Amino acid sequence: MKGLSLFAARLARYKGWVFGVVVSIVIVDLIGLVPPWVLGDAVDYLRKGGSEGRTIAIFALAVVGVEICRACMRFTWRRIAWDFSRRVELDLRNEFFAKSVKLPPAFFDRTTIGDLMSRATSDIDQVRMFFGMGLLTLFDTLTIVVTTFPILIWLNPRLTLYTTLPLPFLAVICWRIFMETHRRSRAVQEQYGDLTARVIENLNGIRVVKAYATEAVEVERFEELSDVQVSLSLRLARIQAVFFPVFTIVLETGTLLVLWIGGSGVVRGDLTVGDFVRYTWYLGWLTGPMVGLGWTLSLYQRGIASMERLNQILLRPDPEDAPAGDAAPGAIEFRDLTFSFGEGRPDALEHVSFSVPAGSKVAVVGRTGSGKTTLVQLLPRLYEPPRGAVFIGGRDVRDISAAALRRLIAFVPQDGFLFSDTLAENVGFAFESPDAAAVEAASRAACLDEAVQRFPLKYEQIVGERGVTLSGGQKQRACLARAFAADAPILVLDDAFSSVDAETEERVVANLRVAGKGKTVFVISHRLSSVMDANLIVVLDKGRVAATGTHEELLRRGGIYAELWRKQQLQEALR
Amino acid sequence: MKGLTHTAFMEEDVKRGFDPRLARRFFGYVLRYKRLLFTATSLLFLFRVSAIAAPFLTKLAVDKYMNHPELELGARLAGIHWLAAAFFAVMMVKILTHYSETLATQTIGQRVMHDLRMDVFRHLQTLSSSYFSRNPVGRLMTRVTSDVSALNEMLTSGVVALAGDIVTLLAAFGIMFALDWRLTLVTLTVTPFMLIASRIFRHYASHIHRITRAKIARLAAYLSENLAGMKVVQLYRREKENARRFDEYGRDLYRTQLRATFYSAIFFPFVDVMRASAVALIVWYGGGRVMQDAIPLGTLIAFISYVELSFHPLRELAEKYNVLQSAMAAAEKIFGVLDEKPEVLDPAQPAALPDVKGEIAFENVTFAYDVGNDVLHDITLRVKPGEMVALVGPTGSGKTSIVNLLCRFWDVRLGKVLVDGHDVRHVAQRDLRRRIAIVLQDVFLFTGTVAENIAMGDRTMSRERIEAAARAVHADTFIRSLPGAYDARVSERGSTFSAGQRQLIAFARAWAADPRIIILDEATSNIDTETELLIQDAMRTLLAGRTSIVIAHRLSTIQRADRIVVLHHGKIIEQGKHGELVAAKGMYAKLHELQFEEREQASATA
Repeated sequence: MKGLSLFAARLARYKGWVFGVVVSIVIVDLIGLVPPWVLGDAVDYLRKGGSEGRTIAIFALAVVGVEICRACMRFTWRRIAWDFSRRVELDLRNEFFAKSVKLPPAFFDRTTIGDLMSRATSDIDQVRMFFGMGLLTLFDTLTIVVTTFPILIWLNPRLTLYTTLPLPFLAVICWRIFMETHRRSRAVQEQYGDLTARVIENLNGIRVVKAYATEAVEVERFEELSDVQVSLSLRLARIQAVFFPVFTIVLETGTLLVLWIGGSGVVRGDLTVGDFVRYTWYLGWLTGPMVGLGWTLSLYQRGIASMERLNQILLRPDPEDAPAGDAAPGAIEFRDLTFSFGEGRPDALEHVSFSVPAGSKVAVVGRTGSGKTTLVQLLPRLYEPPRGAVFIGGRDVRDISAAALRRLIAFVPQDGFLFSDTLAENVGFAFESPDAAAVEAASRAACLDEAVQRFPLKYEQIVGERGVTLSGGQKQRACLARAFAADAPILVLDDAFSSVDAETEERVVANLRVAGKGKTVFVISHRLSSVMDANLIVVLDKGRVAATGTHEELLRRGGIYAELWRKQQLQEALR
Repeated sequence: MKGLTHTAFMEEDVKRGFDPRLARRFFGYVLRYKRLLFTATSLLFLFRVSAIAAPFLTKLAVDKYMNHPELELGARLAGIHWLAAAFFAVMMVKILTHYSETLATQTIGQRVMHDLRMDVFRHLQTLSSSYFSRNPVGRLMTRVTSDVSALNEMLTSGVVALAGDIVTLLAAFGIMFALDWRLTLVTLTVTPFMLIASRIFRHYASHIHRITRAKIARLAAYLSENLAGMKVVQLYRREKENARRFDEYGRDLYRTQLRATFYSAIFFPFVDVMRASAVALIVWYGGGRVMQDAIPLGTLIAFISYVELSFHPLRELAEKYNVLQSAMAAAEKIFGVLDEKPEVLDPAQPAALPDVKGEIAFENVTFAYDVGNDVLHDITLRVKPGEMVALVGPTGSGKTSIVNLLCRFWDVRLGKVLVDGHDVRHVAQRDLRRRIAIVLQDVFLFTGTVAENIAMGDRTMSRERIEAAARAVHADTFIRSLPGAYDARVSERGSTFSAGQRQLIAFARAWAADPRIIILDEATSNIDTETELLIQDAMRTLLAGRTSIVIAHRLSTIQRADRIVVLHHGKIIEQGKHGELVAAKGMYAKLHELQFEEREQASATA
């Protein structure tokens, strides 16, 4: 019952709700006992030759009246129960979100978004189902069994023995059927995923398919998957189709027994017709919850499995962090930094040492894979550098809390990631409610403003799939503007101009010279014209510092930098 | 609620009124399974009729035997036993018919889905590149998957259930009328209230469900976006603020869901009250009739059961309508794809393309992807069999367009493209492409084994040939080092392979196809020296004795070419041998210095 404790803690949080659900359900079920009784009385009254219109009208009114009371209670009950399960869902989702924003990038490198999303959606859904329908059905079943069963025994003990004996088995069988249904439908869904993936792959590779004229084989391969989908779906249909017969056999065998034994009892005079009617109704009442009990069991099992998957995320320890506090900008220093992405992985950076006075511009150049991005990502502790290797203002970054550290650094990552929100929100991302003037100033500095002015809604334009699609260059400029708007003392541009044309890059760099006065700027760029004015250029090669110096010094010295520079000069000439 | 408006998410959820043409076309698919359909319909009818027999048997038991003290005891008991037997028989019929009907209906549904899916998929294979450039993959994918499922939904839980419900209603009311038409009419007085209530409910529910779906989509989008951009979120310390917004979206959804609950929390109890009212009417009016001895007691009891039976279908009618609407929208989209005509068509009588020598000719070719925006202008280019031509030029100069025209992915606007003197528009696309192998820069590997990727759809290709191909292009060694060697699975489009390895597999694929013409778009990515040398050598083997057009990025490739064609803004501006062009000090000389030397050096120093 390890599972139960998983839920118990969560249930305890919602004591009030659970109480509300239980009370209302008990009331609804108790009221529900009345109509069959009234109907039974009515039948007996008529059979005995009752002839008073008024009495029968009272019976009729009683039926409606009771049902209205019950309807009101059921309304309340549904509201409470749904509200409760939705609240559980809401809380779980928020917990999930709150935890994921704390997890380090290294976690996201290892986990796919699809996996996280399926936990956040279908697993939370399963847990909600248990807390909603699952608990509800459980209490419903308990109440009905406790109330109806004594009535049945009181009406006819022998008959009740026969008719209720199969009911527990029904619960077990239903539970098995539900579990099997769940298993099979999972198989269908998984295979449906394969089928969908196949279609996507075919459409993405349609050029190759056409080039090699292999359409027929593609159709054949798809047909095989489609056939499997058909047979899996029919396998599911076969188990689903079993449910009705099982349910009917148990339910109607009961009715049959009532008709047969009870009917004979009426004939013999042991039982009134009214009791016969009542008995049929109450027995029907008992059957539904037995199915429900089976269902609850399967919901419980699935809910536990999902809760465990959720806890794998929710119970992850938060990454280590220094106590909150202020951090001061200042010189940046790398002291014999050696870094690898994990145990057993090769070193991405080896013995990197250099220092940058506050307020200067540093450029990091080198080929793809030389460690440029890794180096700058250690500054805001996106990845945790070793102790005693990276310093800002004389303090080890490991001793500064992530929040304080990141307040010092405005970072433009390589991939121009924007949210599908308005441009104003994206550019002012560093602020909860960005100031319109600041957003515009930053956008002007990033040369984004002209593009924005052409959008129908200007800065209120939503970008991304549901709004305007920005070009690669526009996206990068928006990311630049976002960093400018943050107005932090340290600015890191990780290849932030790769999709921006040279002319615009030059303009942005010129703007930066003015706006970035007094800031420490880290630039990674492939276009050397924008790094030549740096106070310090660090040339990285395979994770090591190959050379440092100013533009002139490096040119004089020859080597990688001088070579790169010559080629770019040529490129300029060609344009 | 800044930024995201929920209306933005609502476009997807299209509904459509009933369209008889679409319905007829869809039922054309269903009618392919006439026998199954007949079986399913008959079983459905039997099931629904047997389902309403039970209350009638109870009525007989009450009226004929229980409530007949004048009959002798033995006869009454025997009657009860017989009725119990009949009840048992009905139960068995019910179970069997329901089970087989469900299977029959599901089989039809699955078969029809399969047929539709295959038709759409097959048709997509025939459509031209222009169609795929207009329609994003995601959209086309839904046509094959979820739209088809929506139609199945309509068939199995829509039409069939509707038919069944109608049978139940007709049969139940039929029996009730036969038993006592006056009582039936009195009972029916609640129906208008029911219908009105379910209409109102349907109106609100479908509206609120649409909003709910949109809000769920928004929440999921926000979450996945945050997960994808977590670095940015953390860098800009937006953890709390974004969590607050996520909570806000969540609460907004929660409120909407509660509103949805409100409607169903009112509607379903209301239905129960209506049903109770019907029962009350039966007790009151029917009770009176029993007192007057106009009807027997059993009829009254049976009526109560029939009300129970017929309320369920009445309540369901509203649901069915929604299913139908969504299915109509899906049908329209699916048949829209099926009606799409390919722009590049095979000729009615394709000319035979016998053994190709490999001669290529572009004659005054002008071409545009969009009308009025020519990307190739009056290109004339002849390639002799066995010749290797290197295409060189800056991005956007028209290199890829030349390839697209040669493979006839698109058609020329003016002029013609000839292979061995045959206009490519006069031969079957399949015949043409069988003679051409193409190696794209970004090598596309399919899910499956390495061997399957080399055979590229030719299922009859022998293992020997596949391995020979791999050996010829130096792919054999690395493939053998994989777990499973040639049977190693390619996952996620081959992302586990290096760019160089993917290139080698693509070479093997081309070699195995043994075409007369090879088109090669050289990879620009950095490849380690060792693999680079293998690739250079493999390319030599692959191109030997074949006509080839290479979009070149490497000096060694260009130097080996028989001819270099320099493209600029869709025109050929220079052509000749490497040495000649360098000496001419034109565009090529500059390009050469810039692009090719760098790579050579990069790979030499790496």
